[in-house]
Amino acid sequence: MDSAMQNQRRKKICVIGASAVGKTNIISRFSGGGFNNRYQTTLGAHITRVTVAVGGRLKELVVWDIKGESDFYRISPAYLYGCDGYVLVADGTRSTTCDHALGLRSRLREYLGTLPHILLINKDDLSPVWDVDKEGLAMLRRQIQSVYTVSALSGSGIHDAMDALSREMWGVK
Amino acid sequence: MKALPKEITTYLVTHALEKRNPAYLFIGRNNVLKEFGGDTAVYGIGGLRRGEAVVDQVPFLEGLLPLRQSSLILPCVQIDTGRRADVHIISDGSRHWVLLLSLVDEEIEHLRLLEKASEHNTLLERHTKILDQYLGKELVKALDEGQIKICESGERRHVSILFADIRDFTSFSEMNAPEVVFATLNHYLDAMIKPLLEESAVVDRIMGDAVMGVFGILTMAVSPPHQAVVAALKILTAVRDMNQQLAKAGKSILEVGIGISTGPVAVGILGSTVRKTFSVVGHHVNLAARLQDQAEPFEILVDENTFKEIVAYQRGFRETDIVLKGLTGQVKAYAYRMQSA
Repeated sequence: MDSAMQNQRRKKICVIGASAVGKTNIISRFSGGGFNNRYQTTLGAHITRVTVAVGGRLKELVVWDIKGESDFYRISPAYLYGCDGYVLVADGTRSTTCDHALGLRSRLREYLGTLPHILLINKDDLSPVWDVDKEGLAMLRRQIQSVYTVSALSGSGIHDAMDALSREMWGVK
Repeated sequence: MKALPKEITTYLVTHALEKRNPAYLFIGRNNVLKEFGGDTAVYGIGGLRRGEAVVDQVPFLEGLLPLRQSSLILPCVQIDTGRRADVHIISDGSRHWVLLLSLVDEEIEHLRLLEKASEHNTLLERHTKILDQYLGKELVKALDEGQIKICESGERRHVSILFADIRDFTSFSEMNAPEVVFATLNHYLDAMIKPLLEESAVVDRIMGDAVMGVFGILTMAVSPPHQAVVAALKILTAVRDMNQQLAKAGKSILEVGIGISTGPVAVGILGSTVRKTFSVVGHHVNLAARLQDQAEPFEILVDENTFKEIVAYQRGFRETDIVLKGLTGQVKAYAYRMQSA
């Protein structure tokens, strides 16, 4: 185990995905805040800090909430500079956002190399009307090792997913 | 850049920095904060201490230092609740300058307009999905591409109407919790609606425990009565298979009856100025509904018009004369019964 990596106090992560998949509400839930029912778009990048317990030690994540991609906007690679891991976010009620997440991962791999990352499929609370079925989920899991279904509305699944990513980034089992 | 007169340079610098709250950090070797100045507080950066590690004081710089290139521009960055800024990081190899310039209102407005455009795209995607769910992808595509046009004031079409209804659902819903009722209903409706869409029906209505499909709105090589009967057989097969699974699991099962009628109807758009819906009205709509009322569980009742056009399936049907509520005299109908298990 790399002790320098474990001793590092702070790490940068980027949260990215298509527009309106719920990135900001997921971060709000993760940082102990609530759910904002009114959609408010992120312009550029919004940075917050979240304290996490990793392997019994308190660490800090510097979370970059990056504006969602659309036909009219592509993420500036500058935001990703120096990040230690990333969170891809998709919306289970819009299967196109899962395809988008896979496309983003390919681009990020070219730009950043292989880094710890997870895919969160948001809106688990609306699972009866999901576009993504069991086969779709299985296909995603074949391509991305860590796929979590989460709900920013209820908060379910978010902390487990972020804990797993933190452990991986700090090299803690 | 070619040299410019001092007055012009001064004007440009003043103009460029006006309303932009410039702030800077100067970072020496080992990422120690050497100097700072300008409006750092408006960006949520406060309590800065010279001679100490900068990343502990300005955490958003985590990962960015030392910069492995001569400069990096991060557009429109907001730190916690501070003002949005374009962040420029400039490096000479061992020392760094971080420059923060707030966004002017016009830039924020431009970004909001871009976001509005993407919100409209998302909305369009959602509306298309809703239309797909209500009308079926084929109809939405055909309407979008102008292959079919529905005259808002109404027009006459030769179609087949199919009604499928879950039997004894009222008593089932009285004996079970609402969550169970809805879950069961969705399960059965799924088995009933999929075959309709597969056979190119427009799902005109979902009425509690019943669905209405219209064949002939979308132009297909196969005749509407043929499509309707194939869809009806598929529905009964799907429900029978589902019931076998449910019975094995010890769960309650339900049965379905189907009525089909073929003939001219009026197709158009009905409603008020604030809410409109695609509608099919006419005698054959009522006839299909009445046939479905009379159908036994796992039975398909079709009218004479439908029967005449389904030559390949006629052998499975037997003729029957029935009296239908709201219609005078006996009506000649044809029944097909599928074994329920």
